[in-house]
Amino acid sequence: MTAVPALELEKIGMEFGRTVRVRALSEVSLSIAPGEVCALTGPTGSGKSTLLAIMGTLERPSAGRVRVEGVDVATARDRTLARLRAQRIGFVFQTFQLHPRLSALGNVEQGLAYSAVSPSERRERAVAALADVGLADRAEHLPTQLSGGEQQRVAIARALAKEPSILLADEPTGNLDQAAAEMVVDLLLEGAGRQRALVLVTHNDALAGRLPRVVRLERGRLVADGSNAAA
Amino acid sequence: MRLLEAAKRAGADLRARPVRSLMSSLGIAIGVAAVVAVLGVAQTNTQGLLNRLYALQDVLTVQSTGLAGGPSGVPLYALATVGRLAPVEAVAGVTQLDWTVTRSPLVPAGDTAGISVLAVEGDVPAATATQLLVGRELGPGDGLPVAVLGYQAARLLGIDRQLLPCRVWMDNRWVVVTGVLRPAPLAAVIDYSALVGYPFAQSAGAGLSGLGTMFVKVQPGSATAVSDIIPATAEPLTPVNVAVQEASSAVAAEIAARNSLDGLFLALVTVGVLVAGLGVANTLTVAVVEQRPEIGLARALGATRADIGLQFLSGGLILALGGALGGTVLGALGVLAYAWLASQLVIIPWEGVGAGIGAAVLVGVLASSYPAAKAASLPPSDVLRMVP
Repeated sequence: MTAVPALELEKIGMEFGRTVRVRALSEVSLSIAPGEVCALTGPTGSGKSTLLAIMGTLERPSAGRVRVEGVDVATARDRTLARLRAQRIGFVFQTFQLHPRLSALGNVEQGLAYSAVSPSERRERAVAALADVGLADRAEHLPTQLSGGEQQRVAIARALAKEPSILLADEPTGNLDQAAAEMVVDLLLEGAGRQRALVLVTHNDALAGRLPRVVRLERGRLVADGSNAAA
Repeated sequence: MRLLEAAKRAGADLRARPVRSLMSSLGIAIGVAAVVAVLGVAQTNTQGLLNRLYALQDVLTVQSTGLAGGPSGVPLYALATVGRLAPVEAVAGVTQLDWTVTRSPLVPAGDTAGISVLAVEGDVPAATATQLLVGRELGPGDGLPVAVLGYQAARLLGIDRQLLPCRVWMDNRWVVVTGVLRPAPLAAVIDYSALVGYPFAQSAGAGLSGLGTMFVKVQPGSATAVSDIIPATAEPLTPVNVAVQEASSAVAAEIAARNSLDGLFLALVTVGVLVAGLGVANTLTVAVVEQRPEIGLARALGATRADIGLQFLSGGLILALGGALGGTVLGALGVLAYAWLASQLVIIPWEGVGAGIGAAVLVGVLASSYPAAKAASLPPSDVLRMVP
């Protein structure tokens, strides 16, 4: 029996704009297996973030078909997609996207706010996730009291606390120095594997080189998809 | 549960912008406070008037209709015959004279300030449910050139308690003012008159034949029964010549007049609450624009459109309810202060409180529905494009 792919994209096209149409993606087909770790690379404006948004059901494509764990995004209701994002998909963003008025612990708990988790379990899992990223002692600190690397680790804890089957990271090291970036990538790789797929968007070739599979986009088209022998 | 969570998130968002939230709520609070205060003061006043009405409804006004012809006015002997009826506590008769009254002979004859001169017989204060404010009443059958002034007449003539006794120029002679009456709510004619004794008026050539008006104070609860027998008692041969009126109708008309003004004011207040609702809508619409990253993040974390919409609806409701509760307290305090100053019984208009809170909730829902719909329609991908 063949396992259902974590992500399955068939001839995805994406256009923006009403008067002037801009094509961001064209005929992109891709399949990510459960637990597979993959880098999505390409120059700025090549459509990496747009493709990640489609994978994460944040956008519906203009053309083609997307399935997330077998769920057809095009025909799924808003509630179904929201449940997928709440329970099955974890996001890590380049700009961290932490709530400025919530503590580190509050931000991690917020990641579980829309999943079917009781408040007490929410607190328990958030505390454990913060400990996993080495920030147990910074739980009550506001984002403004944390360094960039620490903020990104809070964001990773927020994504991992819900124990998603798909982890999507959009340039997670883009705003970090080398040391912090290394730590963040280590955490993401630790969090991935087994049944948790990871798609990491980066234009950093060295970072992409650490991942077993590299998919390259250029001008909205998939130009390379191969395994990485060095990983 | 979802509503509670949404309300918690909305509350946190509102607390993050305390001044703006407070100002929005304040608009609603002022509107609701005005509703509660207007209704409360109106009801307090109405109750006060009703209390007066109950106190005054035992005063009857008797006048001649002239239907059967004969001498004009109610016969003088009616004071005695009506006064002998068991439920009658006091009677008095007044007749308007064509005299003028001024402070001195130097005042032009036509400058009367609308003050009349009445010849009176009987106990006027007791029969009209008023009292002497200061000085001395007219004596029984007073034939001396003395007068008592009605409350407004004294004010118009510039006579107060320090000046008593003093002289006034009445029909080409000096008359001594010995007292001033309290306001007589039933008998405006007395308020604006100088009262002289019947004997004095007759001796001065007033040419009186009957009473212009007779006031009858009866025991509580007996007004209707007494009014039925007064015509035959006052003028046995031609009872049709006598008309009896219960004074309460005048006070009831006053209450109706005041209530109609309250209705107009409430309509203005309703407009005010609606304008306050626009303030809430404005606050929430701005919040939607400012919170696009947070909304996108919530959607990325699994919030449905309904979750986001509910959060903004909750925000509107919190602002409206907060304002309504604050306004209720403010309005109630206003009513308390008014009742205390006016020495009246405090009446909190619970139906006004309910209506105010209900209207505020309705305004809150209406005001937040557009921002809620706008927030719910934002795409979750905004989280990728916005920097919080």
